[in-house]
Amino acid sequence: MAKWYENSVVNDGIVISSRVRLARNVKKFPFPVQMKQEEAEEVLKMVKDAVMNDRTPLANTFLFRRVDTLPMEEKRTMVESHIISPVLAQQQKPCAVMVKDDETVSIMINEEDHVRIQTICPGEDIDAAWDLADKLDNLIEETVEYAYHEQAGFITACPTNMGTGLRASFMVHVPSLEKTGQMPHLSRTLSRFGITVRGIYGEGSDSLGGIYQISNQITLGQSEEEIIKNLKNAIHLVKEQEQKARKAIREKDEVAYEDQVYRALGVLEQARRISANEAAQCLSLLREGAQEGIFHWNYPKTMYQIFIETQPCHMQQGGSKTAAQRDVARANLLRQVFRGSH
Amino acid sequence: MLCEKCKKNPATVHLKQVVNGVTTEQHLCAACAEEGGYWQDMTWGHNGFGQLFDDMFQDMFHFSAAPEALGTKASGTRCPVCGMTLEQFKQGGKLGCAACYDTFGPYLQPTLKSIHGSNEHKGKIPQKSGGQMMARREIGTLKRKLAVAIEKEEFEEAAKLRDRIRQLGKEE
Ligand SMILES: [Zn+2]
Ligand SMILES: [Zn+2]
Repeated sequence: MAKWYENSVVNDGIVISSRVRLARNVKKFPFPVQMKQEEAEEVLKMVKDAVMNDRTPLANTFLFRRVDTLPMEEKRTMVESHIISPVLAQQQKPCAVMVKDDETVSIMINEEDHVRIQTICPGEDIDAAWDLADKLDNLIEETVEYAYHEQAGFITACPTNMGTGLRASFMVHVPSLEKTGQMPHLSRTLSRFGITVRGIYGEGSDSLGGIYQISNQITLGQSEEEIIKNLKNAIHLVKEQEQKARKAIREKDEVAYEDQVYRALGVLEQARRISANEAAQCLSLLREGAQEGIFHWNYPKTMYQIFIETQPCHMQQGGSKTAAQRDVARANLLRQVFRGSH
Repeated sequence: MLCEKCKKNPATVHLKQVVNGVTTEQHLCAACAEEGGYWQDMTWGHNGFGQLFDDMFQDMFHFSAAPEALGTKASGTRCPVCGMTLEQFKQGGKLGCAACYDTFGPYLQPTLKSIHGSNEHKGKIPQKSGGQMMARREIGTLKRKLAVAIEKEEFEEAAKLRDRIRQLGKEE
């Protein structure tokens, strides 16, 4: 089964992916933090049976995994693949995850809340992500009664999720907004509309390739549709500003712009030792360059996929390596990708 | 550099997060980081990429940032259902069960307002436990429409709306 991040849509636009998360709890049971062993077992079984049963064709595409009994090694690998959260990996009480074969859906049981539904769609398609999460939510509710309060909506362990329990987010690639130093200002503007912008940073203050996550902060007092509409407005603004910034940079010095892209390609094709940060920056330039039509992205993997595969933890596979050894392994991997097809 | 929390062990975990343009940095020893739930960042080493995903999963929330809403008289409050105390709740920032919502209400309501700007749910209503709520919400909407219809002197429409409201009231 091809994974969502192998879809070429992931490479095409400013938005890399759209995600939705719903937090839910089962009525009449204490939340995981206050749960007894037997109660946790009971909730686990109820939620599992709601999804993995003969009545839905869905069950065939989901893999159920009991998490608390797995060795820590394996749990860490699942965390690194974003299949489970660190909270679930650390959960001592009975807990589990159900993952769809293409990794677009994961349903965690007994994490911070009893149920955490997460859906992810490649590219800019938050409606599809919400639609899928909404349907899964309804499916579970066919057999499981949720903790719900007329005023508070869905009751969650954390007050930040109360109400809809909905966190919707876009992962965006905005290298030019970052280069021109506009991100802090844009983040502050969006925060006034209840939108959170998070950046990823590596060691020091070097950015890791202009990737940001833009999500709703408010879950209570707005309907799901309003929350998503608000987020779409935010993403519209972000895309518009990024396009403007790209245009301005190119118009100022086209040769310098192209030069940067091709230098990045040179590094990825030739380097013998490369840090995660430098790799991320080169990949970012290349992704932008391909979108701007400077060259044709003709590689077997998407930028995001390579980006993930060159992170330190992934380079660790096959025994422990020093940072320098990881840098060599990373350069080898990149050369394979970028020279193999050209 | 010494750990910021225990001030005893050398700081080996360096966390940096940028949220809405504000950078926060923390330097902790491995033990304190683990205790504080920063296990994720440790697995990812110094690299912050995992944090992006973590943010979707884990919502860090600290009551220290919330307004002081209660006096001292509530400090002995304990949830009758799950046994969580107000102190535990304030420290962890998480509810122990659905009943905690009412138990810690006086403390929680202003907190919810400060986070969300509202403490009233306007979203999805579950089919099962929400049948009556759905009817009540629909009645509310219909009543607003009725007022508009009467104001515009659309009496035929108003009569229809009135019938529907009556019907829903009976079902409830
Ligand atoms: Zn310490
Ligand atoms: Zn309670």
